Amino acid sequence: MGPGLLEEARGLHNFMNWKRNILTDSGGFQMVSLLNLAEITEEGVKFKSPYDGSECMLTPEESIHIQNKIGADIIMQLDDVVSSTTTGDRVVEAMERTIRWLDRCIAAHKHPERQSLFPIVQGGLNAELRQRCAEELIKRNTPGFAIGGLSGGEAKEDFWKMVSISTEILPKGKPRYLMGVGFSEDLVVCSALGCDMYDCVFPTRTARFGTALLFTGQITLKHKKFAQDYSPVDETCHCSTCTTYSRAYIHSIATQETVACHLLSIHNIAFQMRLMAKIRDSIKNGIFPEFVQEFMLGMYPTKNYPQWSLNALSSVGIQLI
Amino acid sequence: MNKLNQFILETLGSGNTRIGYFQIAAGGGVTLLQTPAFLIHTLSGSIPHVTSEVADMVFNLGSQAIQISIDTTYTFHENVKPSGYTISKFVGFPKIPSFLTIHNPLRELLPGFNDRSGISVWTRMGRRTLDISKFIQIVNDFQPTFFQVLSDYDVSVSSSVKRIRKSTSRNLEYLNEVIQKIDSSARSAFGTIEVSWFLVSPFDAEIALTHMLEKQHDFNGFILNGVKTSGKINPINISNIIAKLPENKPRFTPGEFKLWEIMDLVRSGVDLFDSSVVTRVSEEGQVFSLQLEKLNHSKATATPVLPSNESIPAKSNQINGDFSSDNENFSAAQLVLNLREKQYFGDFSPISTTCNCYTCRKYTRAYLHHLLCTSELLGPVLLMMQEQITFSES
Repeated sequence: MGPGLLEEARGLHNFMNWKRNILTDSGGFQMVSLLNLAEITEEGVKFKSPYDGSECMLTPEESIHIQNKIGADIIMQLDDVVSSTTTGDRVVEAMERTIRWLDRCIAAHKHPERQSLFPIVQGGLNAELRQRCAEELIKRNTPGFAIGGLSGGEAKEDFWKMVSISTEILPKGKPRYLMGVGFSEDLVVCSALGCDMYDCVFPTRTARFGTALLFTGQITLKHKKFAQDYSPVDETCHCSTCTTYSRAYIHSIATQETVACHLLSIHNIAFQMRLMAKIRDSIKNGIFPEFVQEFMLGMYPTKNYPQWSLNALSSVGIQLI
Repeated sequence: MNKLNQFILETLGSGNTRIGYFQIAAGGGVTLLQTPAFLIHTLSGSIPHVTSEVADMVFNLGSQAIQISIDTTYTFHENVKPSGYTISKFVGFPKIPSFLTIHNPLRELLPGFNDRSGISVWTRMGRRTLDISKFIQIVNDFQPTFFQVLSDYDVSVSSSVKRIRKSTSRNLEYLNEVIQKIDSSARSAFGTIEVSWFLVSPFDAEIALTHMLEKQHDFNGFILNGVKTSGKINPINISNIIAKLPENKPRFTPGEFKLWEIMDLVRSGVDLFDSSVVTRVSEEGQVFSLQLEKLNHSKATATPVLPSNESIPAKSNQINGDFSSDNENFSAAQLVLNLREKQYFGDFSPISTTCNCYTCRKYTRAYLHHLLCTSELLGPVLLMMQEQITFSES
């Protein structure tokens, strides 16, 4: 019913009255998050509703057609996703199927002239598989690429290496979208590795639980130590939350009034945008490594940097102080 | 002498209606609050779902005041004073005057919990006793523009005379304490009159009122509590009580009233209300859908009346005709729509075609239906904005 309604509304931009860009995912991630409700075959994914037991089949074609009706500016292929902690033949199968599904998605895509279809690099935590996958996807000449199947529960040391393999192979002139990332540090490190776009529920989800993001890490405003802290959430931030409210008041209403969710969501999104702006500006001005050093020192004032970050940054020639 | 924050009665209308205003200095600005007016209902100091920034899009904040209650701010009341902020500033509305009430007007108050040591407030952490010295401390800490004097609310039509007497005598005692210990040039006290006093024991009620009136130069307004008996307002009772009150002091009836009940109260001579009904309506996922076509804005006449049937099925979208008992020259239809209902799934019209608010200009019923059904936080925000604007326009 949903896609029909959106078709009637002439697309999601109209339905939600949002005049800017929209990116839609294919429904593929639910193969991981709803794994025990999903049956995956070459045809597609069959999901069983936990509410009434009814089944729906999501094929690559169906996924693309739905995304066509939604009308987002960037759409994702339906990929065969496995959890990042899976190993063995299933990972190979998923990677190879992803390539076949990409071709079906491209064939089914009705509006390539106004909706960019991105393939998704899969291959688990296996370097060779990732490489093969990326090489195949590149042959399809798509407007951009996504790197998927990461940001699950895998070790950070594996995570950055898989990101790095992908960014090394994928063409330099096309955007690289790292799905499901994330935390501030991950955004900085992965940008250093060559990623351009990200998505994550983290900033707003953590806001709803009363946590604010800062360049010095996170603060959980629910904690009683903020009860009489009359400073703004972030002294350096100019968002409406930080210019009007104190930590003490947000502490008083966190998890009690929805207003607290909104105030922290606004701040956290403003924070992320500032972070990305700083990344972009420092790259443009040729001082990105200095920015990274300053940023990491802000997060780890005692310099107890995580090993994975050190390794990842070092791989692209950035040393921390 | 015109004190700042003093109530100025401008005109008397037909019946007991009045037009007046307060000119209030708050947070470096001046607010012009014209009455009859409503105070914006808040919980823990915030308008439900609406941040200060969004409130700015909904209201002309230069002519509003917020209602804040002690019960919903109790858990953090000790954190206000060390900040040096007024309660308005602490909750994110630095320039808006505040009215501190004891209870959240939506809160049902249970009988049997007041005694000599104080009255009960139900806080997030459970019931607490508020005694007069604690109350005075809170008022001094919060620095509200207006406040309700501590009141023993535990009376109803079925109270014993003994209970009535306890209530009246305690209220007088509290009023005396407040007059002595709170600087009235800094903030305006409203003494509380319980309607039930008059219904159960007019004799004791008159005595209490006489004592209150003796002190009328030391406080600034009246709150009429318990205006509804058995869920209904009896306008005669209210008018009779108000007739005994001085004209130049504002009258506030806190609580959740339907729009036509507010009209009745305005006609009885009430100046101030709160918008708790808006909070209630929004909790249900409902919106007001007012199609106000012509409103008579003349100050000298009685205010318009709305029809008495609130839950009209949404399919009958327009009710034309004259519902006012005074035969005013306009037509209006008041609807409460529940946007969670399936019929709104594909309804691409706005909530109201005559409403100019942010929500009605930007979004359709279908989208709001979707937001509500998926429990997205944006749903209540948009609904609340629409409801507040509609309520304040009526």
